[in-house]
Amino acid sequence: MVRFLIRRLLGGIFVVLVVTLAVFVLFGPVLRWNSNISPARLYAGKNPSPEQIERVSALLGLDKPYYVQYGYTLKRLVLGPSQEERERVCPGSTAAECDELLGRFGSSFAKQRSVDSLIWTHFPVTLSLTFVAAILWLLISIPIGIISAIRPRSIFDRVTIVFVLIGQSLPVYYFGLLALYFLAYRLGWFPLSGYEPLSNPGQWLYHLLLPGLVLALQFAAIYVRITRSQMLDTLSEDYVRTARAKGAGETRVIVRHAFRNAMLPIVTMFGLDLGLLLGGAILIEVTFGLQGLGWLAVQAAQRLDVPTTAGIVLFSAIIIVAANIVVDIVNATLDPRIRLE
Amino acid sequence: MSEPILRATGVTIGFPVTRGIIFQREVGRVQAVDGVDLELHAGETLAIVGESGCGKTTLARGLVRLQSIDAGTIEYLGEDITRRSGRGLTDFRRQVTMIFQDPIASLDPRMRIGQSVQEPLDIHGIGTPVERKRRVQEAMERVGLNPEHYNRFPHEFSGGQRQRIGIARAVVMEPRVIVCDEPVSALDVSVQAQIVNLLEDLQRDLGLSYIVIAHDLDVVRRLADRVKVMYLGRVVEEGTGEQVYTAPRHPYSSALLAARPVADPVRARSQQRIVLEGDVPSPLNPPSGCRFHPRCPVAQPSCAQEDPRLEHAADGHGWACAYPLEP
Amino acid sequence: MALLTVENLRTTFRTDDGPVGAVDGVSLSVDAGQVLGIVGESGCGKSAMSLSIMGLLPKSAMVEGSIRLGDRELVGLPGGELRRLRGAEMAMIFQDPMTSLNPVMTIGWQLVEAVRLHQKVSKAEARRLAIEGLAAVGIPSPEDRLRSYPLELSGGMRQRVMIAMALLNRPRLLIADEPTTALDVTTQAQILELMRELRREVDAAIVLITHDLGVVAELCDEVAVMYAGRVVERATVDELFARPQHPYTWGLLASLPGRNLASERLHQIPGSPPSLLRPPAGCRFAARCPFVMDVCRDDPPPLTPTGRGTAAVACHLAQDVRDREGARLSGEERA
Repeated sequence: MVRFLIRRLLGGIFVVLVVTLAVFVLFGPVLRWNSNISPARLYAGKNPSPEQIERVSALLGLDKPYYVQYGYTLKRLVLGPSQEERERVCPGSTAAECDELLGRFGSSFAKQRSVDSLIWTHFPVTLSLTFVAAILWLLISIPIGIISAIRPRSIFDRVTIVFVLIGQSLPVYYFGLLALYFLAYRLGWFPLSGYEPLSNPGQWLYHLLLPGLVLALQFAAIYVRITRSQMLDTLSEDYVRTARAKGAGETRVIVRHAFRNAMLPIVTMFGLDLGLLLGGAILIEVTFGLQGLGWLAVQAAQRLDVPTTAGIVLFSAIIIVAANIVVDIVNATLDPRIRLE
Repeated sequence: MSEPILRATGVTIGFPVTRGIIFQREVGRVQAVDGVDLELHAGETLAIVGESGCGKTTLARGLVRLQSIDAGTIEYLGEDITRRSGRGLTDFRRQVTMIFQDPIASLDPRMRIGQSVQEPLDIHGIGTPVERKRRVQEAMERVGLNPEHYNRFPHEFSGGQRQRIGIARAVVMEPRVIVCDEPVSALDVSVQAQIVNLLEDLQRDLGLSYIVIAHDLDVVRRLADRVKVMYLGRVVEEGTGEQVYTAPRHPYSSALLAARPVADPVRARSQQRIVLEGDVPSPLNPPSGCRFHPRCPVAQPSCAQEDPRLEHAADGHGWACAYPLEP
Repeated sequence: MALLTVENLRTTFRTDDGPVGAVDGVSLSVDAGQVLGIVGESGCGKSAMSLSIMGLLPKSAMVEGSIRLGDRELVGLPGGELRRLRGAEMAMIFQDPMTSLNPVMTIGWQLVEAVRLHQKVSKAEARRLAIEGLAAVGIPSPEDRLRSYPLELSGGMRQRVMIAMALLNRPRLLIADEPTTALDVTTQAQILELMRELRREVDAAIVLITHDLGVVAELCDEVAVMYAGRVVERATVDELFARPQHPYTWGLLASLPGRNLASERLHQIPGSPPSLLRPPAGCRFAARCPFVMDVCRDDPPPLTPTGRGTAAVACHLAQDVRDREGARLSGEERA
């Protein structure tokens, strides 16, 4: 088990390394060569003189060879900004003030802030949205999937299948706008947009319920289908028949014997979906005016804020890799076949 | 005795055991088959029996070169084909074909059975399309299938008929040797008899040689001229069916034979039986000395140290045991 | 009085092509302490029958007739009551020990569950019973095994666990559906040996479902031979092997390679069993029977006592013809 964990962890670190290299190459040399966007130029303010650009360039270390730059990027990602950089960029300010400007992911072109502080400002929104949506879609899909599987071909099952198809084929931006128009604008049941921090839990939930629901319905459709087919498969397993032969009641058979086995692949999928969403649910965030990571990414891309975009990409990648590892650990605790491997 | 059709010498087949956190490196090999010799003569049936994990199926796959061999040689008609590839291997596979245990899994469900039977001819590019079709129909007729069913799909046939399709596929190449891997174990008793009879008829009519891999000792007794008993990758006893079945010398063969349920209630009640304790050990970590000694009812202390070699009596009956049973 | 009495049992599956009568009017009975073997080939209805007795068939299957356990009628019993009987009064062992245990739960959990579903005892007491049960089926260091998962045990060990689990609540009826078929020969012998010991110790009625006449000869007292959903012959095990009465039984015995070493050619039953979607009107074996008469094609023969003990056969052949042929068959083998 420990062996397995170490292997997964080292594998994850390797993937993150590859991603950093890809991000560095794509957002550094490739972007510059392709569209002639010079970071120094963007940092230097409006209509800079060549001297100004050169000074900024030297300050940012952009005059160094790429491999030195990459090495520094990596070092900064792991250890944070160096003392030397702190003194150079924000002389005379306190550590906290300086952290606003400098960070592991670099500094934004567009704002006088570090990408780290931007991410930490906007990430809670995405995290909250994902959390609310995930709870909703599990609450909706798992019971429905199980009931469908217990009574295949029943009216309930057939109606479910129709809804699954609709849910899967409606694009979320369209469905989101419809929900906004009718439920929020016409009926006034929900706020039109915005986010309230968790310090006011009632308002927090009130603002997240509608976007969460729209997001959840789309995922619920997929999860109903998977839960149903997994349960159907599991219910026809020999050990489920054994459980019935022991005299276990139907509820017990479903909950204790079938469900746990059926859940194994769903846990995997759920973990990966969470990882994906935590990187920012762009369409939903933009539609509902939630200033999460997805929204931030759109903003940054529009303003050619390369460090911020690159930072978000890298951050999402780390979250996805972390989600993968968590999934493996959870699966190993649930399934002795993996644990004892 | 004449030159054998197929001869294997010291065949050893292993599977890698890997270890390592990032880079998997091979730290050893499990010997699934460990130094097996065999000779198959024209028109005879050689059976290889043993329980799961004894290496019989791996050996069979190795003999038809479906499995790569770590050591040893395989000769076909006196020619070494162990390292052959390309054209030479294709020629060999035309003459040595295989029948599998599960007739359902070994047929493509979307292929008409005629096509399935014809496929080997297509692959080897034998004859014109008209000739191929004629040969397929002949083969189907020979195995007792109605050639008019050429266009049907596998699911329209019963288990026994599907096994006939599998056999037709193997004989359509007009091979000299067929390796049969558990040819009847998935079938009902009455259908088993049909297939056993069919295999006997084909052998007589076409002069085929068979290697039969099976765990059912009664079926083997019926089909085989000579028998090899395998345990944990090694041959522990070999001889004619008569020798091995009526006077087994190795305690494992004897226990295996005694373990068969007898379809005779009077004898079943009176029979004294040795029931082997425990399970077959893992080939990853085979026992020292004689591999059978931890389960052997007549083991002596020395069996844990000395690994007995396969020794042969004058009549060709061979056993690998330091304390063989009295005949 | 018989512990299990099945009368005129019909089990019908609804399929897209129409109803399939998997079991078609079967009657049989078993006493406590007795082993009844049910032999037949795949599709003969032997498994559908055992699942009907246990009430384990899906709702789409229709079960008619009568199944009495002691003096309690099981057909039509509400689900809850049937559930209380399952695992307590009647238990079942299945064919494939590799898939019959829950892979993500420990052996201990599964055994304790089986106890506590039917006995109001503490967890510790249930654990003690589980350890006892494992020890009784010859599992070494049973306490440690409680912590094992199924995948850590060999096939033979898993089947022992299944047997221990079935016997935990001292059932009056034990149904074993092909309990040794998936096992290797020497493991099969171990399990048969264990079942022989257990049948002396537990005073349950045992129904053994198998396709293997060898297993029948080793374990059973009485035998029912099934073909295409019906019982074609019933007898004590000695009677069946000494004087088989039905042409199908003859065919089965004659096609066993182990019993027919001397014969030039193995007997084979031509063709294959009829479709149960549209079964033939008369005797279901008629199309494959070497002794077929006109009457066989039209009238299904009833199961009629032969006059020897409990033996009965469903065949239109005259008694003397059956006696002669049956004796010839068993005499030939012994030679």
